[in-house]
Amino acid sequence: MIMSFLGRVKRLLGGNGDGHQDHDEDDCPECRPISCMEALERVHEYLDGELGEVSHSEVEHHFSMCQRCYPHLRLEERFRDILHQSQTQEKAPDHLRQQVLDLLAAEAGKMN
Amino acid sequence: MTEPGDRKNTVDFHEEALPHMDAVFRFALRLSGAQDQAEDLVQETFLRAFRAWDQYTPGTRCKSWLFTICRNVFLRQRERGQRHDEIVSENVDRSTGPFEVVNPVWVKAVEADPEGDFFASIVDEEVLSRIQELPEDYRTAVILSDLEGFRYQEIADMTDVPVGTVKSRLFRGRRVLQKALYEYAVSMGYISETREGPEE
Repeated sequence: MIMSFLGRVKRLLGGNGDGHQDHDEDDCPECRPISCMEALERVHEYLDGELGEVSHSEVEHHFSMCQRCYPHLRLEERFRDILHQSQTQEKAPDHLRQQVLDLLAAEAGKMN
Repeated sequence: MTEPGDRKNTVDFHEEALPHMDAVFRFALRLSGAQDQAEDLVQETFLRAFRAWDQYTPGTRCKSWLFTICRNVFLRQRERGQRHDEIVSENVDRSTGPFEVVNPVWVKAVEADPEGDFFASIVDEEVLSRIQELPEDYRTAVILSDLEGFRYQEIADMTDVPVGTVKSRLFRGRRVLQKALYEYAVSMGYISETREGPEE
């Protein structure tokens, strides 16, 4: 019987402390050169574009091949999407803009 | 020798720094969570920046320089009169040791909604409100990275900590935020709570 992704991950979480061994035992050869643990450890840096070219390619390959890890990547992406979307394009109010300009003019006057 | 009040410097400041006022205002708003405090922060930020303009190298990262000043002003103001809700928000659990590599929130979410469609039901105000509840160091890292798109090294420079600390704050801040948003989505019925225990 094929164990579900959830079952595998829960087994991993309840496995041998950090769970590396359990997860690595389950690793699929086609997901390599990096293990599920290594891919998940680097998921933030991968999405932030902070990995070097080789490492980025390794993580990309892993997530494209690993059906257990891919949903985690997808959820991270959706999470980033809503954070980004929440950044409203509020503008500084006109009265604030004017206050800053007045402050700067007064300061320049004091300096001259 | 030029001084900040020189006409050329004033013109340079207006051309290079003032276009970032909207971004500084949003950053101040996210940091402080209050419109009036954000407006004070913006005024103080631009005043300090103008006074220190001769120390700024033209053409370098003006926006991150302004953000750095803004955060420093915010932290000093907060030290002087820390708000009750700020103190409460600092009580987010930081003592749980290292987080698991596998995100327990995603483990729950992936069974009921592997595409993360529940996120679409969460309104922006709720997201911003949850960001506001993060401890300041986590909040700043999340705002600068996820909302403003700064690189790790830029955030490290702006907050005067090593890149490793930035990564750690981002990791932890995001995990706290993910848990809060997931629990909110469950409470609102946007996603079903999954049952405990492994499945075979």
